[in-house]
Amino acid sequence: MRKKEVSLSVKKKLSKFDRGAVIFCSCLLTLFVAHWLIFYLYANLNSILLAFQKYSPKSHTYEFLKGSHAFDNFKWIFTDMFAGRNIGNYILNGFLYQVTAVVIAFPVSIMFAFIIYKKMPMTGVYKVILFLPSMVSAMVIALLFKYFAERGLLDIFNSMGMKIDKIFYTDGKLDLIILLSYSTFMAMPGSLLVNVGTMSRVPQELIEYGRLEGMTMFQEFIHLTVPMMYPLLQVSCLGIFSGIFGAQGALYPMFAEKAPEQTWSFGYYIFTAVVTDMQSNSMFGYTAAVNLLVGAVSLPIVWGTKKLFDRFDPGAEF
Amino acid sequence: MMKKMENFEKIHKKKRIFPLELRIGKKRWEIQLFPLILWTLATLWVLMFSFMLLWCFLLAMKSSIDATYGGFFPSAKYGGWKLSNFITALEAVYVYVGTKKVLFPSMLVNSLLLGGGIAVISCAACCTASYCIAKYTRFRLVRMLWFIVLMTNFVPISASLSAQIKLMTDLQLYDKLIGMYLYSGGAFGSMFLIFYASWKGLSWTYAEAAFVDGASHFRAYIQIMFPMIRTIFGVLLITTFITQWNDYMTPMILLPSMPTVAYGAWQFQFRVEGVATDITIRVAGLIAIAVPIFILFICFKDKIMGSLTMGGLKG
Repeated sequence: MRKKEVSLSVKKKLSKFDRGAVIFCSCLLTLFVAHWLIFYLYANLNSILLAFQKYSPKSHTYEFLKGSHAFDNFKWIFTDMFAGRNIGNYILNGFLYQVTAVVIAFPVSIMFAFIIYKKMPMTGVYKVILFLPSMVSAMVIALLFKYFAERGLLDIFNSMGMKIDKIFYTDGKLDLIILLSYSTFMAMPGSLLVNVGTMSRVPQELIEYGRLEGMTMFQEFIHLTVPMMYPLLQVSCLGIFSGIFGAQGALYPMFAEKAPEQTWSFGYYIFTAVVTDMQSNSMFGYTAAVNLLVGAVSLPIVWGTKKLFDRFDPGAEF
Repeated sequence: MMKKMENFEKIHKKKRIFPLELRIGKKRWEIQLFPLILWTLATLWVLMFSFMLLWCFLLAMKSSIDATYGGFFPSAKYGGWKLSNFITALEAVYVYVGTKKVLFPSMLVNSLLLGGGIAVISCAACCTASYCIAKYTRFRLVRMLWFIVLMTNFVPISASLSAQIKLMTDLQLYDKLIGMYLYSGGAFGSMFLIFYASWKGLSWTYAEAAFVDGASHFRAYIQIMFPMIRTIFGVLLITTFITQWNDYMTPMILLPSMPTVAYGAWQFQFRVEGVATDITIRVAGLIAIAVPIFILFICFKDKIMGSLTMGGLKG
């Protein structure tokens, strides 16, 4: 009987402890889950429903499009894309902004992280300057570049013998080239600290073994560092291709709604449509439909990118 | 046979430039081509970026005539170094909210309220949620919340901007400070992963020792476990504050009646009357709002960069 009483009292202690843990977790997590349900799940569902609605100026509410008009917002998008505004060019510009960042800047950011991880001369100072664009406002840097391009860069080009009157608001491609160069240049530091942190986790024993075998730094980078940080590269690349439709470059901070049209990206077009239309709300259904289409296109791209990366995964672990 | 061996050596002995051996006195360095190229690229990037910042800083110190006719440095002929440009810019920054003119001091208060409040709320939310999910894994429902984390961070679907504005309007949170605080109180964003990694690296025995002494779960969290990651919390608090200070777009869209310093400085760039037409004043205004963040970064750079570097991602 005494043994039973002891075991019962021990069980009661454990369950009282677990009860406290359940109350603690419930009180805290309920708040956060409720927040997620409202501001993420409901917001996304609302966005999907908004794609099938239109703002009625008479009733000042959003009304569902019915019958044959249910997909009017989507028809509007495809009409703009193929027959109306220069949507095709905007998508191409967004593609260029994103791809230059992926193809040129992303590998360079990994290499910059590598030399900082290797603690090469003066990289202590370089680390601070490379991290500066992440700290100082992107708006400030974009505008400083704009003024530098309009005056300083113009003087440099003219002193090199290139007769250029102005950098922006030209009729040619110079605006786009300058903005692409700027986007690529500012994307080069990339996620510097996360990359350096991941590289730091490569075991020193492997590197020492490689050095004993005569491994050069290039071989270390290709055969040791990159395979070890492959999961990070995979995660970084997953969102890159889906960013084509949202990429704005530095257009809005530099020009507000008045960017030269040959530099517009699709993301910039949608953003300005929402921001300039906040009073009348007539574009909200259209932009929600765009967001839905972009999400529908992005999901297979992300899934395909993940499968592609999984196929070439070297499977290095530490 | 010996001749064949000599010919073989002549053909196949390549004169390699790299690795380059550099000897200064007794010290010897081996310079390889690959790191040399990378270091040169990084140096070029740093020089170009620094040159751009220097050019802008010098432009902010010039008078209007000096900016047009002067040289690289401010010239005494056209007024010399004009530190007063910064004060002129801060005095000239204002935003109209309806008919009410909001000046720089009010914008500064708005920035501090918004940045400080959002930083505290978002960090506290992520820290607490990640603690529960990292340490109370024996409950199945807690483990299932990982699904929410994965959805939030890795599924490329987000509510459109228009849907977010509509949601805030429907909840009567649009254009309200409390609305911005609630909007930013999400616990499952990217900061969650950093906190989660920190909690996972912390031993549970500290909390168990507290439970043995009679502490409740809440007390063990606040008085024992949380102080152990206060460095990471502090770093993320500072970085979130900096991000909110620099953000001009979200307050412009969701809180238009409380313009911040960043929004005011951005608006100032597109004004076409008064001192805003002078490019030197415009650039001075931009530099003036970036200086506090730069000073904050320099003061805490070792903490910020050290803690964020340690995070990393194993995969």
